[in-house]
Amino acid sequence: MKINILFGTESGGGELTAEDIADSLSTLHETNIQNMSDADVKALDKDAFYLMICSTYGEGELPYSAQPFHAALLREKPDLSGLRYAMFGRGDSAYLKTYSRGSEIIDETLQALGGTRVGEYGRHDASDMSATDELAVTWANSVIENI
Amino acid sequence: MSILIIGGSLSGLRAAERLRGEGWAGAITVISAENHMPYNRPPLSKELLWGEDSPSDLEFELSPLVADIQWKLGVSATALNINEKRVELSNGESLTYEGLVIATGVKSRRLNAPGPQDGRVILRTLDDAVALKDKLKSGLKLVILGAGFIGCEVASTARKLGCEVDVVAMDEVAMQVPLGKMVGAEIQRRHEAEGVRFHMGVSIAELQGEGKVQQVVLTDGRKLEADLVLETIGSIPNTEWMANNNLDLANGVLCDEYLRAGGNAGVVVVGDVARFANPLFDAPPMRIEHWQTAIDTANYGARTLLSDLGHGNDELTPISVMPWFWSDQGETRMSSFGMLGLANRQEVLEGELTGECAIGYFRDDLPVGIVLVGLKEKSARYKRWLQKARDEYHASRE
Repeated sequence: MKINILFGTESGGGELTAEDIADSLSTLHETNIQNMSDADVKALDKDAFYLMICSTYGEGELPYSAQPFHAALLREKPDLSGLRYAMFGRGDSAYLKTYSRGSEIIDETLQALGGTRVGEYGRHDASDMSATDELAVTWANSVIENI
Repeated sequence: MSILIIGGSLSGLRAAERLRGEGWAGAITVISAENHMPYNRPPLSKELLWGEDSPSDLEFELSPLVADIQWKLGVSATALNINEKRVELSNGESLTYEGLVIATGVKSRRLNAPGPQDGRVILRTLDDAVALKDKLKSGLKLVILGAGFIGCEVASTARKLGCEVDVVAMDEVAMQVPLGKMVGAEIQRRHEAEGVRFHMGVSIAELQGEGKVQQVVLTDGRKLEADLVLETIGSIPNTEWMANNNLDLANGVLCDEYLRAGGNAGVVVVGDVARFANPLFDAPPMRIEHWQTAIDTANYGARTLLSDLGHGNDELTPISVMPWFWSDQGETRMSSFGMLGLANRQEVLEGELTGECAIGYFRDDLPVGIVLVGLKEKSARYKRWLQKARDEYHASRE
């Protein structure tokens, strides 16, 4: 399967998560990693399955590398029907009202343009003392096995 | 069954949340010397001072988990008796507890120099910051004593507000204690480019003025005009109230590896006042005054306490933390992981010192920390680099 991993990040954690997932999936699948800031919203590949990784910054805002991607989606309004993706949000539940909000903004926008989210909504909570980097890898493998 | 938390700032709040989150249903009472519900301190030297944040913006949202806990604001602990499990309060109350969380933090060290008192200020609490904000007007002559985080952050903020800023410090360069000479010198250069004047290797010998401070006399005899003197010369742990319990209070409260005060079951120490060994860095017991460490110690301490009270489900693991801080000083955003003070060597790993860069801090050949100037998007990668280096070192010794 062709798997495109798109990440939006503020301090680089999302990029590491994308790399960890690619390392784990690349023996069985063709994987590509791209920063949302470099992605062309009109060239999203409907033959590929997307793993979206996005953190949250400030008071429930998008991280800086996701902002141009989000703005381009709103501006270009590409038809995303047929695009399938799974979403992984990185956040901190100590921020009660805005926890993982960044990923949800991307998710809502993709769905509004016709995209279909599948599988479990992954979350990494910085306030969860047991949450490790492995969490995202486990999530990605579970999503891919079940589609 | 009741748990008493002495100290109502970030660490006290997070401890309360963790206790409830792990299922503690008994009473929780928080005693806070300040008259405010818990608020976020880092903006006190930045966003609040330059007006971007109001005091209410700084209040932490309270989790529904802690909606039922009791708060006693404007009250401080005056005495502790660990044998009797009793705390005396400044309002005359005497409270007993089953479990105690010590989260009393630190206070500002003050300058001992003769002269008028009016015009000498500190920055530690929200009230301090609100009072300082009112004074920082364009043209104000501000003298800052001390060139650490708070001194340098306020220097930058005050320049932004149009104040004249002189920084006086005993060190050779700005930020020398937290960052070392090489990086400190570069940070000082950046502040100087913004018009901050540094007077290093000296302190303030005397303050002069009619009823209020008008000038300061430095220890080398030079004089500086001053409308206001901000003292940022470090902190003193709030431990006096814990005397006579056989605790080591030499610099904060000495904890065991589970953050128990002096190994006493049912008494844990969290936040700035806790002095604990950090095995990740082979560090002897130290206090770590960082925002994230306040949270990390609250989480560890709460678990230890629940275990001591017979409510813990997990086997305890000794505390081990990756200290982390950030500091915004004008256009310069710094972040760091690790324990820089353990280093005997520094090396620019990426970029140029005068621009955005990553500086590795090493003890001999082993990394003990990283400082990023800018390069924000690299911070997770360098944190992992440091964690991996430490883990491999420990694995190699087993």
